[in-house]
Amino acid sequence: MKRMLRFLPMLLAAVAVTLGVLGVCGMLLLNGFANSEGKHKFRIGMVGDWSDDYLGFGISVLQAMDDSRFMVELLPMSEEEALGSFRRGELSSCVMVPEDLLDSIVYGRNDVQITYLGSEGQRGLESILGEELANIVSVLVTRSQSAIFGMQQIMWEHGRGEETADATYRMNLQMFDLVLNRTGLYTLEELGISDGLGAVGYYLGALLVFFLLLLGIYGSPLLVRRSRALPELMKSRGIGAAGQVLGEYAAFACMNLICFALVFPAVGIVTKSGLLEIEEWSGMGTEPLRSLFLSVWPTVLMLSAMQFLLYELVKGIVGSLLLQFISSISMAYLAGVFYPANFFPDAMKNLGQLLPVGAAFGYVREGILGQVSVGKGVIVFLYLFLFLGLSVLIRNLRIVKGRR
Amino acid sequence: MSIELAGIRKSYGRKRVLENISLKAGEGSCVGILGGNGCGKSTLLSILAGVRRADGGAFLYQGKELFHDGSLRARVVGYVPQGDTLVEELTAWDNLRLWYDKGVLKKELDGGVLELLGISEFLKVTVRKLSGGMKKRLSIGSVVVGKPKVLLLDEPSAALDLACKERIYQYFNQYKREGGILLMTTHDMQDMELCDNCCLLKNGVLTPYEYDGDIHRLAKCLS
Repeated sequence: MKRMLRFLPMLLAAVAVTLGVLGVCGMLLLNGFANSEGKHKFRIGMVGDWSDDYLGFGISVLQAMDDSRFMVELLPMSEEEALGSFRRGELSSCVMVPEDLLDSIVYGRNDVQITYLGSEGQRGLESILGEELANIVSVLVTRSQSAIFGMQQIMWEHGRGEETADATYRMNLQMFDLVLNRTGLYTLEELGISDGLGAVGYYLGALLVFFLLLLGIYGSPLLVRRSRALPELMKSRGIGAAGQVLGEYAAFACMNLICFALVFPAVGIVTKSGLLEIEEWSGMGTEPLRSLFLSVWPTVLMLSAMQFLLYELVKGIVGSLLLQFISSISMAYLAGVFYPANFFPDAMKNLGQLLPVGAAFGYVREGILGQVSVGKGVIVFLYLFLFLGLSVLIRNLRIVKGRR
Repeated sequence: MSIELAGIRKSYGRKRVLENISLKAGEGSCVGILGGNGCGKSTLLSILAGVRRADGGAFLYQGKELFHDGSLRARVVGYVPQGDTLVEELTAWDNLRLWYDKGVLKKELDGGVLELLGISEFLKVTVRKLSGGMKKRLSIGSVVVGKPKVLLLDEPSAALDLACKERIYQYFNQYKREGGILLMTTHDMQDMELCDNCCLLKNGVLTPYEYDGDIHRLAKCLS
């Protein structure tokens, strides 16, 4: 404990710097999220014969009138240009309209299709929206044309061909009025990034977990520079591996808890001052903060135990710090700390949730929502005991076998 | 007061490190264990200290088996390992306080073993800033304040200057006079002069050795 208190001021200075950097990163990230809604633009390459009045007109109207949430830019281009741009990542997707599509529609053959080109394996929001937009193009342009041409055909067959121009004009007006003016046709409801948690809440949890992982690296002086003969002396005086590990772990976990407790008010300040607005906390006063604080400490203990085990596994400053860093970053990545886990394939997502950092992150997310479940708590504590048990085992091996 | 090592055995996998080690030492005596590097000297001391477990044999103090009585062993046996047993970031005083109450330490600093070892000179200095000799004195001091009856020393004077050795020997002689039993591993000729008996550990077997100051004969025996 005395050693821990010696390191604490240095550690707190490092924590203050980290907190500043993480805070700025978090704000930029979350502000980016907020602003991207207005700025994100899907660029779709349109390949086809746009000289046709109806098709060209349909595309122009679609582009001019589409005031949906994500703006779409439809870019007429040749097939070569479109494929080149798509491969360079300049386009979200391509829509290829075959030249004889209109004839096929007019004469009711339905043997020619519009081709949508997207990225294989790209299952993000962007590709899904891209597909939807391809459908919109397909439905709005081709079906409306089909209807117009069909109506003209019927009118000519019934001897009213002279009236087609007027009827087409009225049909176009109807289409503008009922179909293209789609503003009120949908409402977008966000279910959050994960567990029903919005982006701000999600990344607040992610920053907390990442901060706890960094604490383990900052706490290295406490656990790296240990006397190698001291465990032997302690054993000879009746303090076995379990007593040694528990004593050292208590100091390390205590240090992390103190740091966490000292920086936690910063979370309160940024959330209550309006710098970060967590939707789930609106109108709930300070209760969510209290609930989060109480629910986070088990994860502090568990992550401290994990870091303690890693320091126990590898001796030497460089090796142990590298191990801490690499394992923290990789587990954090898989657990969805940097990117929401929903972006990953199912296997990776499931693995990420099972990893200690994933379990800790899940528990923190529940803490933010104020709905901590017993199941996740049990997993966190199981990991805690597992890590401590393994640490005792390794310490004992090191002492008994003389492996330094 | 006496100790007895009876048939102690230890193997690491297939490698037999200690075979049937037997030894007796009486009150106020010092036994030196000589041997080449890696011959098992430190392993023997760590077994006697309870750090490692013997495959067989007994360690008796006044006829009581210490291998099966951890609390008695912790009271009776003091062990000074070869490396530093100190916490670098703390002062000498803080390191001593890890093990003993303030009152006990003050008593030992005032005319006791800690004064004899000269620890009061650097009591408030951080261990990191201490010399090798100071650290060794502090390591020994942190063990002997508990007044163990048997002191196990793993190469106590390795890499120490003469003045420091002299100070440590002064304490060891007093310890012997007070009836303590010293068991030390060493390569140092000066250490051997402190010993009443010497033993040679070679190929896991401990045999008595009459040290007569002839280093060449000793080197020949060790090779």
